[in-house]
Amino acid sequence: MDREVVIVGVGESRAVGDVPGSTSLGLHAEAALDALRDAGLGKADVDAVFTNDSYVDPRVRHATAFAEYLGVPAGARLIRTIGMGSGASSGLFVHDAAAAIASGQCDVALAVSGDNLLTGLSRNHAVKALSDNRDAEFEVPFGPTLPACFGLVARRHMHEYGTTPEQLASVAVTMRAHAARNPRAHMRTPIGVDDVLSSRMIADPFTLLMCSLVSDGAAALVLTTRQRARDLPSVPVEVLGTDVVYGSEGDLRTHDALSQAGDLLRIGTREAARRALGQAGLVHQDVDLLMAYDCFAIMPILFVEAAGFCGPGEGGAFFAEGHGGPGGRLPVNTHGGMMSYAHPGNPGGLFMFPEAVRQLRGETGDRQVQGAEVAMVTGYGGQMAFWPVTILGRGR
Amino acid sequence: MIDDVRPAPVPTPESQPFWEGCAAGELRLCTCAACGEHNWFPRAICRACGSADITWAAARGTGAVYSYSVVHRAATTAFPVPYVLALVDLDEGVRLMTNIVDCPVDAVDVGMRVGVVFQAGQEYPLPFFRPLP
Repeated sequence: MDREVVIVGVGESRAVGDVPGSTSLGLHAEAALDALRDAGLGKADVDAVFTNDSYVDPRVRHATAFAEYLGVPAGARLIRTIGMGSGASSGLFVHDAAAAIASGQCDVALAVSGDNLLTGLSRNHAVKALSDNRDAEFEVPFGPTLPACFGLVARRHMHEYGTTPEQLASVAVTMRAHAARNPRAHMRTPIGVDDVLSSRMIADPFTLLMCSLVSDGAAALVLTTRQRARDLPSVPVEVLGTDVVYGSEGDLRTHDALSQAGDLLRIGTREAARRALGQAGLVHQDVDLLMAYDCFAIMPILFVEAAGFCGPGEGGAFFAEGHGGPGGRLPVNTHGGMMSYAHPGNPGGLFMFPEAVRQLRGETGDRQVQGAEVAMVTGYGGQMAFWPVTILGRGR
Repeated sequence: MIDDVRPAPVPTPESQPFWEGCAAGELRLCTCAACGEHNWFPRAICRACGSADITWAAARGTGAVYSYSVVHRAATTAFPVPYVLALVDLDEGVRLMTNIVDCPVDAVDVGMRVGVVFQAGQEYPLPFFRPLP
């Protein structure tokens, strides 16, 4: 009971968005120190570090390179690079840190990700970097840009369910409506469906505003035991449930390459959400807000469907009808998501956690979801390949 | 300086027969002689039964578009836009990533029947697909 896992600190770099002069490890350190301050802890308390590498400044042993940069004391017990990408690393940080803490491998885990993707790479290099992790022999030669790969998913959803470009646009509109209430967001000016549809076509069906941003920034979490949290100042947010599923509904085998995925639409989030809610002793109706990895406008649609907040194929209507927006029945990505808050590449998904934690603490001011006690975080792994789900709850 | 040449596949010992097939104008699939599973990507051990008895045989070269995306913004000048990225399900039940060629980009649709056409002028030609009449 006392080794149950809580998030006691959350932090971010001083700014996100356009941060000239920032460096990847510098951003990491800012966020880490911010989270430790928030937790009421110091570097000397940290005995486990998780990171997920960098596009701008990749390292062979990224987590130890960061630990060296930050000045983590010797005697640390677990320093691990989870090289599983932006969409899943945050959920996996929490999943693995929770297991390590619960089993006694460590007491205080620091999870960090950061990158200066906007100012550190030219636009073309950033686009290329994000597109290069495909099969070199059987995919890369065909020009699978990141937006085009998700375009394949969206087109299939449009084919099977009749999802429309207007519904995709409404996801972008929703993210921006949340960001408009967030002073730190990279993009805040409200947009409408017409603005989204008339923005530049990138890879059908995605226009520019249906794609996530390219930003600078970093985020960090500090996790520890419930017992340790009792002596710390922040309102503890409990990790009530955490699960990861490799494969989607009906798939025979796991896959790594996008072209070898089975079902692109009925994603493994369904099973992971069922199991995570089960661990938490909760049901869908208990969830007050959803943080859903939004690299492109199709993903929040797949997540609300698979996580069970609407029926299959109803995700487009869910957003078009405003259910995910401010005041909606299930606000999605109240910080503005990667489509409007920030997307520095590898750290993108990690921003879901500080926002969820702050919502559950009641600290989010204008964008506070009233009475928020339970948040679900749905991550995206690999090439539509694995699906972390985390359930967070306000400390009881 | 961003590359301006389409990346060329580099065959491996496991995939060499596939690329030799492409050079000969033939789409070949890697098939397990023990259980009949078509393994894709090529591999030395069958993903279904674990047998090492892998053989190669010609595929029909026909299939249907599972999904597609018309790309308007490329990362490099190697890919003049617009072009069509697609997933094609071969009649043998294997899925390939490819480009749909020899048709207007707005004429592509999910379910469209397509047939293989090999890239010109390369040592190991890529398998593209074009609409079947």
